[in-house]
Amino acid sequence: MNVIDNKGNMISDHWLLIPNLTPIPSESSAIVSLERYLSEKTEIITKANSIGLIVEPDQALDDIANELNQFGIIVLLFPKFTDGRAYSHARLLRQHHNYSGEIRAAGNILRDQLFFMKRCGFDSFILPDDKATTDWISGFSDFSAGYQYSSDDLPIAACERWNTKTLMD
Amino acid sequence: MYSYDSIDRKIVSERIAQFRGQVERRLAGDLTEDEFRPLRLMNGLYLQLHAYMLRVAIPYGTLSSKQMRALAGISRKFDKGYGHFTTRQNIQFNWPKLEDTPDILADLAKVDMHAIQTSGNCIRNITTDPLAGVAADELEDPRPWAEIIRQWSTFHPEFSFLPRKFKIALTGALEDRAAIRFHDIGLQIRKNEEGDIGFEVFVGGGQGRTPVIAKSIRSFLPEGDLLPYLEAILRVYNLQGRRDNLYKARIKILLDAMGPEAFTAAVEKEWQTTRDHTPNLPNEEILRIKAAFSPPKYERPAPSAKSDDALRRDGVPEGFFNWRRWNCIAHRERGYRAVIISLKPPGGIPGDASARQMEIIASLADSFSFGEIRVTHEQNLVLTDVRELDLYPLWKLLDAAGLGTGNASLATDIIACPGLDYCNLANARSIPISQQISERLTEEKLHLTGPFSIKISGCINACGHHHVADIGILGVDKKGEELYQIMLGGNPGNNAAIASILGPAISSDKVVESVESIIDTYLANRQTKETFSQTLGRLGTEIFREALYECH
Repeated sequence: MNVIDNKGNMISDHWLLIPNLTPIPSESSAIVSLERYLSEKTEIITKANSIGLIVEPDQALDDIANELNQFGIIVLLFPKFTDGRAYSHARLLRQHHNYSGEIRAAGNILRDQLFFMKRCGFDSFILPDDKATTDWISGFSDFSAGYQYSSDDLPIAACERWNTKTLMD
Repeated sequence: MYSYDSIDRKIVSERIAQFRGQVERRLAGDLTEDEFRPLRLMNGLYLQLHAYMLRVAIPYGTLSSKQMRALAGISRKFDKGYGHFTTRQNIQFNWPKLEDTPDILADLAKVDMHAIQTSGNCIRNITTDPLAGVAADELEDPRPWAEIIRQWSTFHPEFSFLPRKFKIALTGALEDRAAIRFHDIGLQIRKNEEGDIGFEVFVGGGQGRTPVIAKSIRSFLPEGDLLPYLEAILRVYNLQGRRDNLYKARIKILLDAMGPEAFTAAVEKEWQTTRDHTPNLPNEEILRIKAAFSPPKYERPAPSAKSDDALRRDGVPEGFFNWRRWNCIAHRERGYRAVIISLKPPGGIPGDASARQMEIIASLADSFSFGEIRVTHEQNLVLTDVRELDLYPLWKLLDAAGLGTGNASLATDIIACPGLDYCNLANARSIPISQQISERLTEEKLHLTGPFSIKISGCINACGHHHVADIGILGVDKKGEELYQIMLGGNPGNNAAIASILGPAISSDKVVESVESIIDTYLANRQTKETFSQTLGRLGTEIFREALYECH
């Protein structure tokens, strides 16, 4: 499983994706499903060193908003590359919940979407098996500026025009 | 009009490089057709019945003469020497080759044009009143806001993979000429009691197989809050809109399923959070964009035109006076008119213009109207700022180019989709029906009837707006035969209404006489100054149904 960060560098992954029926290895960095976290919260917190969540696009995180910053990573799943809900989940995590941990994209993603994902606050990406990483890196820099305020540091057209650092200034 | 700066240009050129790479990967087999399809659609490239079709964006329907010349050049170089203006104020080329499309985009980019988001499940070209900035009934020019929304929606990182396409229209006039109640979001500029500018926000309108009139979810949104509010609507839709069924994926279905109150509450809640985190555009930026739409340098006072008597003494033909009556619209500036160039000559294909015609229109725009052209959702063009003095010389030149038809808003000013002649979704042909109707109705009858709308779609997707016409014509397929359903009483404007079907579908050879018999019934029964929809409202549909089926 190849994982790249949002600059295109390969990263070695200490996170383990634990299927729902598999026991949590002790002192692991365990990524579990949201429903497993909700039902086995205490046990998971005791066993794992650090916890990550994997979230389906139809799952809302509002109910555990106060617990979000204990997760080192939140993996947002793309069942199909045309399913754009995870972009909004990433924005909600960054914008509404001030989530500062890692957000990772997994599932059916295309190189052509990396630019948008990075803008929405994704930090890392699980590459589909047969895809070469070198080819994908250029996807992050398809555009040198954007028109919208978002969850990244891409230059924004209106700010460039008026020499303001961010729209907040 | 708005001019690109270096940032806008760079984004467009980066888009071409990105798309060129995508086409190369597709041709090399690195992208499957399933993967390529959404990517090419987001760049306006469709695979039609016979060839690819490229839809080029004309933001809010505004073109410079230079851009119009470039479109003519592209139609010569890469297509068959014509283009087709659409109901979304865009232009389509029907015969490009896939491998040529990056070069077409490069030619477009030379005049600051592109095909970004003219298709696909993203925010589409923003549309507005074609008379924006000149209409006598305008409260505030909508174009700066259309441009602000254009920029905001371009490559929006969060909203590029929506459940379905998303269309936004706005108007700043009292009369809605942009069909805002039939868009996913419709914005009506309003002034509140303090004199501040804002928007009434309509959501969930649309045509297609489930026609719905949009609901007003907010009566006044201060202008500065526009972008965060749009973000809130789009976010609720992106997260909650259906993705399991293509036909139930538009926001109108979500709004109906949630109910307007719950939907509105969800948007307002999202907005309250979003507005604190979404900074406003710098005021200088809003002023910069507004300045781009300052009025042109009108002649004051404009020289007065000759009297009609004098014109008649000079031998000016009646055709001019007819044309002036229907195609020349009141202007807010004394001595000027907005001129509709009809792309609906008798027997013509609605919305089509040849390369030569496009070039002539570009020159006429330079000579008579400050070098700017608008596209209307009725598939005509507009020169917005013509001196009354120039109307006759302009008409003579238009007429010589086959562009002098005086039928704007009349029964032969027909909207028609490309239909089965081009489109792989169509069940029936639209263009030949339109051609036959426009050949059949005499000028005398057209003028007697007055404003009257006929709109034709070749399938249930309703690209030809058949739901919102006085007479809507819908092509259906019945065991391999092309049949047509006739419906009456639709209206795209302030009194929005969806047409209702009169009865069983009729065969193609009966459509023209049916349309004429409905018009004749209207003429025989209308009271003084009654519009068709008023007569229909007073008499009901039965009398028209009888007239229709008497033809069979």
